[in-house]
Amino acid sequence: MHDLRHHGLVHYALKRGGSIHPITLPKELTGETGIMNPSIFLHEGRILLNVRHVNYTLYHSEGKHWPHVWGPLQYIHPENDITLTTYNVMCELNGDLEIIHAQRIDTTELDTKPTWNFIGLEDGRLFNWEGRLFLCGVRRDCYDDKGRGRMELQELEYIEGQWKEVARFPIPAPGDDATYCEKNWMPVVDMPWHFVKWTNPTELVKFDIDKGTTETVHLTEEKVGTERGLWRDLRGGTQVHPIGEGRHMCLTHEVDLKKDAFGRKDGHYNHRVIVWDKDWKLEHFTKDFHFLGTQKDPTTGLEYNIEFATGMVFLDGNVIIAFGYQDNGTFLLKMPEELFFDFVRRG
Amino acid sequence: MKIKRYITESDVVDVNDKKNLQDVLTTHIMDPKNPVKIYNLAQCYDKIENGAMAVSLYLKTADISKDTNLQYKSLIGIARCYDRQRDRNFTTEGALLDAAALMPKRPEAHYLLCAVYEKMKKWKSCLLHANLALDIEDIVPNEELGFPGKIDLEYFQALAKWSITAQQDGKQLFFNLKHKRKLPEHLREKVQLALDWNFYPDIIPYTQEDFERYKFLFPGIEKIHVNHSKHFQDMFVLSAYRGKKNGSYLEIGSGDPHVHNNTALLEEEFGWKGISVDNSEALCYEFRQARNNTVICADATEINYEDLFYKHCMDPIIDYLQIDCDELSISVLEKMPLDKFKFGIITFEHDSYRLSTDKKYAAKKILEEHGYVCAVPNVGFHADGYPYEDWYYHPDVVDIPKEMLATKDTNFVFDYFMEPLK
Repeated sequence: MHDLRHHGLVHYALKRGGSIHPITLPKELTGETGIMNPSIFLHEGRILLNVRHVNYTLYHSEGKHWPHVWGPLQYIHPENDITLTTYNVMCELNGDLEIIHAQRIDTTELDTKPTWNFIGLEDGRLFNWEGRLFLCGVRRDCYDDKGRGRMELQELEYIEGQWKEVARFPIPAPGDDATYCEKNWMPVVDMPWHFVKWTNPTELVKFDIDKGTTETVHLTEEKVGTERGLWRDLRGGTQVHPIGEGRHMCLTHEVDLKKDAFGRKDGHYNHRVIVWDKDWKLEHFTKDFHFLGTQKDPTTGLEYNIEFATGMVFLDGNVIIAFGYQDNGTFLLKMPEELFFDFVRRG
Repeated sequence: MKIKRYITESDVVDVNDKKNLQDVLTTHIMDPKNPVKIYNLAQCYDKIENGAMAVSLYLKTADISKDTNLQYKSLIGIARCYDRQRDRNFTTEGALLDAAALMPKRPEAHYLLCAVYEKMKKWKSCLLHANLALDIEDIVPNEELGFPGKIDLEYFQALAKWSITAQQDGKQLFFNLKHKRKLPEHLREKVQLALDWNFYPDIIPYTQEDFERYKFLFPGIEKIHVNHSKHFQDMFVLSAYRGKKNGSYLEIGSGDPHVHNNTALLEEEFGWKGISVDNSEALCYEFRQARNNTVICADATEINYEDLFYKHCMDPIIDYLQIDCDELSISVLEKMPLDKFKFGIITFEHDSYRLSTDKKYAAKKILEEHGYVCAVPNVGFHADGYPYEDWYYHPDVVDIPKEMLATKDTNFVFDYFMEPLK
């Protein structure tokens, strides 16, 4: 099998007929700080891409030769602004996956005064339920001053030339809602109001948008795959897509929160494609992979890399995977469906 | 071809840039561990001002590459991108320090650090890196790395020096930039602003580096490393007399034996004899310690000069008279026995830039009545004027070179003595 860890899935795809499409936004929109964790979806015949724009630029010396004075992995935001602020930029793409329109989503009517330093809706997944367009991510700026976070549905409309947030629906955790932070729930695109909250064991949650409550509708009892290397938690990634015969598929991520030789924080992300059967039993998962490869810390020998995929879509016989690189860059990987599923099977 | 991209009217990008980005990205992905290809991709993002992604790629290049030059350029790229994002000076500084530590004998990182420290107002660090860079032998501009050249380092040196001490040395550096360097357009206004703000230095010295531009060369000038006068008075006298040796002088208001002194050079390098007068006991004491010629501690307005000249057996023709007594200069001139003694050169202080011109014209009347000709009127210490002295000569005593006769009403001293910069 191809070296998916060091060369990455994109290298694999490009050698077999895939293509890579860099997404760039004008500096007038971003101030040149990070754009990442994009989510792609088809809505009313248009290819939409939400891009998370942040007020920082990640400094990540993966190879550890040039760490920042505070460590190899640092969020570099303005020196007079301690917040970690997220904006969401909605883009429309043409068939060549080029941006033809990009605009920051206007959330001002529903924004409240932040109570914590992480501001905005983070890592939004874009999807459509019952004809309504949603962005679903985690919000941590309104619950307390300690970073409590909850998933939130943000309903979007394009009104008079402006992308606007028209409604906001906080999503509590099922049960007593006592957890500190909920994030990375994955919307099931063909099952309105359903999310995969946890992947392994799988927990499927249904949200009642009218009552603002959630209930667990499916819970797998045991973690699977540990004997085949599935020892980390599989965390949420893209939307969950149906792939026929009642099965569903998505991309997940795994994270190793590591330290460098001086004990300073660092991180390493892996991805997989996973497939559930019609009963939400995890029936298949690929080997872990990176999109653009990794580097090794020469001291510890450990790998480092930060990537994150929050959206994918099937389009004209291709699979388009949207992923962020190092919190700083946004890319679309286009793979013919046949190539993609061959990879899933073989991976 | 330029096409409009996105909704922002102002955002116009060369379509070739975008195509190029995709091509370079693909090239990198197919050879992912090749640092040159990562660097090329970083440059593409940098060029289209997507700084965040460029930072990641420059860092990756620096991490992967073994080529010191490529690492150096990448670290500077990181700094450039963070700098464009504003308010991240600490990080910009860190990347540039990495670059400077990697190749301390290259000027670019030092220069860019100076620019960061200017924003941070960390003037001692700014001065350190300006001086480190100026100490490098071959300083060559580097457009790719944003280093315009040596003169920009000199600007930061001046700015830092002034900002640390607010003393004359900083002013002097700015003066040198304006009047001794051919300034590029981007520095011209900055230097002028600095000089407007700081004002000109108290002293405008002649130094050996001015030799090539000096208009009135004379024998012996080549051995002068630096003169002592505030504004070239000693050089004026020596030029008028073509480097005369063993001349004579009367110096009224001598002050310090060397600092701002108009006769120290004449005495020490050209063997002139003469009498100096000052009313400060302390300065006269210092004078006696430092100089061989005579100094008299007295009120210059109370001296009987005729007696003085006779007592010291001075000839009726004296080569140089300095009258530098602020408001009292005219009173001293009025006491001079001009009917019995002639002076080849007279430098007369009237301070008309701060006083009225009454004393200037009173002196002019007296001197012209005695045959003196004003060679350089309204000698000023600032490019905008500030006249404070007139310099006279007596045609019976000195055959002053014709080119030394000023044609302007007001004469900024440095322009008077120096050929324009080529």
